[in-house]
Amino acid sequence: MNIENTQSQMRKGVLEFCILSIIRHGEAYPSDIIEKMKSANLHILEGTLYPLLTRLKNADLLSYRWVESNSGPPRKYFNLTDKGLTFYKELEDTWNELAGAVKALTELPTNGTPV
Amino acid sequence: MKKVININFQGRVIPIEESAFETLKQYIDSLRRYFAAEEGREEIINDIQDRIGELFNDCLKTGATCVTDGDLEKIINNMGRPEDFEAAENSFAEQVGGGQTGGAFGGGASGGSYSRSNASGGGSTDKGDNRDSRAFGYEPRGRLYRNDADKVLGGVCSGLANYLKIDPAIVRILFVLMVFGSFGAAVLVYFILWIVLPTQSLETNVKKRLFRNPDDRLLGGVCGGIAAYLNIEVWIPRLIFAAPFILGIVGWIARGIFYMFTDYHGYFTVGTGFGGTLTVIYIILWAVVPEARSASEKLEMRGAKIDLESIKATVQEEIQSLKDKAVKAGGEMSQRAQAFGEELKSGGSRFAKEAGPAARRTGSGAARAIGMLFKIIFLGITALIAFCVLMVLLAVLFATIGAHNLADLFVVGFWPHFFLWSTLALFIGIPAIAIVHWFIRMMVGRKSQNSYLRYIFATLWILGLVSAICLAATIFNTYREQNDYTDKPAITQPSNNRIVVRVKNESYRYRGWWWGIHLDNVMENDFDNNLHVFNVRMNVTQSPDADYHVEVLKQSFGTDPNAAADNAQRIQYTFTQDDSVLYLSRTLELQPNDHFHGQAVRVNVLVPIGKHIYLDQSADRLEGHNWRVFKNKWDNNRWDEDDDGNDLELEMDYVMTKDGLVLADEKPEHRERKEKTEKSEQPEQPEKPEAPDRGDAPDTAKSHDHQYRYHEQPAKHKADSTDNSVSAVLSPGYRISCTL
Repeated sequence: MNIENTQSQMRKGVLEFCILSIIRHGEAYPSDIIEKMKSANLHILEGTLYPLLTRLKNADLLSYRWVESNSGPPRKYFNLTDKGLTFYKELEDTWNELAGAVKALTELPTNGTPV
Repeated sequence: MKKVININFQGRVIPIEESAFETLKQYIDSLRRYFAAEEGREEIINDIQDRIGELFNDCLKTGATCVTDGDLEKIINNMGRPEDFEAAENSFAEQVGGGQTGGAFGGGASGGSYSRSNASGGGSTDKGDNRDSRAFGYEPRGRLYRNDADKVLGGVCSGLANYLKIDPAIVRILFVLMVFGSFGAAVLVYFILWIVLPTQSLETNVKKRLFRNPDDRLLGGVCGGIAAYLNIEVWIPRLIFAAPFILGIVGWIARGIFYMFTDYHGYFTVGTGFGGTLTVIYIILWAVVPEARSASEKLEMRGAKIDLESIKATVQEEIQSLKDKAVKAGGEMSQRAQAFGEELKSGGSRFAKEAGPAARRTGSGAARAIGMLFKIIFLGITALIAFCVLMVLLAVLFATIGAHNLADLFVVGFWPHFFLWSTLALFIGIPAIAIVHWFIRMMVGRKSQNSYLRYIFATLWILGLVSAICLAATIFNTYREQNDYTDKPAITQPSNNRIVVRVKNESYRYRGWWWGIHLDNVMENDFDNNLHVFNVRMNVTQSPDADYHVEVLKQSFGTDPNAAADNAQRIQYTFTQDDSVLYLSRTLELQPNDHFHGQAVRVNVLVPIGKHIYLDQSADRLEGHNWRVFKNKWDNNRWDEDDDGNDLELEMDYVMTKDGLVLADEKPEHRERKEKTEKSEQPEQPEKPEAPDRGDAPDTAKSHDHQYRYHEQPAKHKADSTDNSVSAVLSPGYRISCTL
């Protein structure tokens, strides 16, 4: 069992949720998303973000538009679609459940006996 | 030692070490292989390339001269290698792809994003990038399509250009020229091709394209685009397009100067026909050449320097990309087949979808052309008006500065002078500067940065306007009152009861200066000479006694009656008498340091009853050069032009009766005498090959002749002549007004 692999899998599990929640706060282009994740101390391989965005887009959860940029080629700015928003809401519920559960489980008293 | 090459990577120019570039290619190939089965493979890879490009840019921004192997290593580690993705990605892909969204994948990569990625990967600066685009773009070749990705109307020209691998702009220009040449038949061909050819989003396959440059434009950015295309300074094409106009301007100014300072009245030929052609070319280019909108297009616009090296590199890349293609053909094939199926499915709806935008584009194309035309007309007219205004302003400015001594005649005192100069500098100079500034800005293509300049201009101009009003007020103030002064010089009575009036032809060099004021040697600035004002008229009235009299009425304006009277008194007017002949001067003289106040002189010849008066042809000189501004403003009834006095005919003998002057025509000796006068002139100047005109030109400098003649003539008058031929008939135009 590779510890790094597990860690990475844990991260990737919530990656989609994180991306959607970043985009939910406002139109974002990939480098924005990466910066925000980094500042939130969530480190991922950047290379994994792009396929994910494309897949989400192809699944109609995201839409994007081209925005001309001063410093280079036009950038893709992503937006949540309605479908994406409901998708996000569901994920949020799931996450809350999961977080609560994980918290409850990890913060069990060390003696192992439930109170 | 490492070789650094420039590549055009995702619309950015990146200097990169050649080894790093190789690594980059391998990395991207590996990604391509990794995502081979992925739905939006090209899009994902394009996105990743975009990001890498951005990171390269960050690298360079920190001051690095190029992207090194180390930089690339870091970036790739950050992005992750396929093997890094592998473990996690598989399970993840399963989760997303196999989960909720599996069904939604049918839509496929949208045409829009696909063509976009193609287009932005297309431009090439150098060998490296060319490799890039060849390797990454799988554009279909060898078939004629309409190009959906780059079109003005239906994309026919663009498709043709793609097929021929030339700049679409060239095809479009040729097409427009063909339309003109074939009287529209080419339009039919265009529509046939539009209908027949299928569409395809085609990648640009030329190194450099002619765009209109929106960042560097006066009208349509055509010159900017040409400059970028040819890699020259933008003012060069601008100058070429503007040259006919500039030549015209220079010609105009030169002509104006010639007219002003010399007697040359010929024509300057200026090649404006050439300008018309250039204008048409400009309009065609404007209509036909697309504007470089995106950053990648702007990069394409500049393109690469075409040299042997890059051509060689291109050929090498061509071969290599062929190899690559063969390898990838297998993977491509399945994807293509899939795409083709989709295309068939959505064919109907796509056709409908396409019709809309095409129609809209057609409409917008026409609208653009019309809008453009209006803009050209508008700008042209604006420029023309501005130019005319500028010329007028400059003319006034230079004329006034050149004739400032003349202005001194009108403008008296410190404040009027102050107002004069501030009017010139601000009221006239500022708009001239503003227009020149505007022209220069147009030529250089820079927008005015500070609006302060405008406010300053406006403020100064308003100050100038105030000055102009003050100046006008001060000048008009000097014309407020009119007064006169009558001089009654004694004359000797003519011996033969007949007085002859002649007008001396003083020779002033005629320079066509202002409003009929003729000055001695104006151009030599010889203002020490007196100012001669051509404002002398003559009246004939009845003498109260048995003698001839001459009254000289001098009139002038002034700020008040006293000043006006004083001004009138200062007028110098001289006439001479030689027995029966009265020689009048046709100008009144102002003394040095006198100013112009609308001075006028009216010579009143009083003829006693029963005596004769004869007006010589030269008396005509008095009319026509009169100061006309005040023509109808003489308050004195005697001077009124509208007074219904009879017109006195010249060269006729009149006799004063109780009821006024009557023609002494019945008397035969009069007629003879008249003829004698005529004839006497001719034998007098035998050395002259050409007999002088009866009316003699008043502006010629034949002063000697005239003086001579007029001195001699009285003597000749009495001389007998037997020649009866009457060659001269009085024209009715020769009149002198006279009140009885």
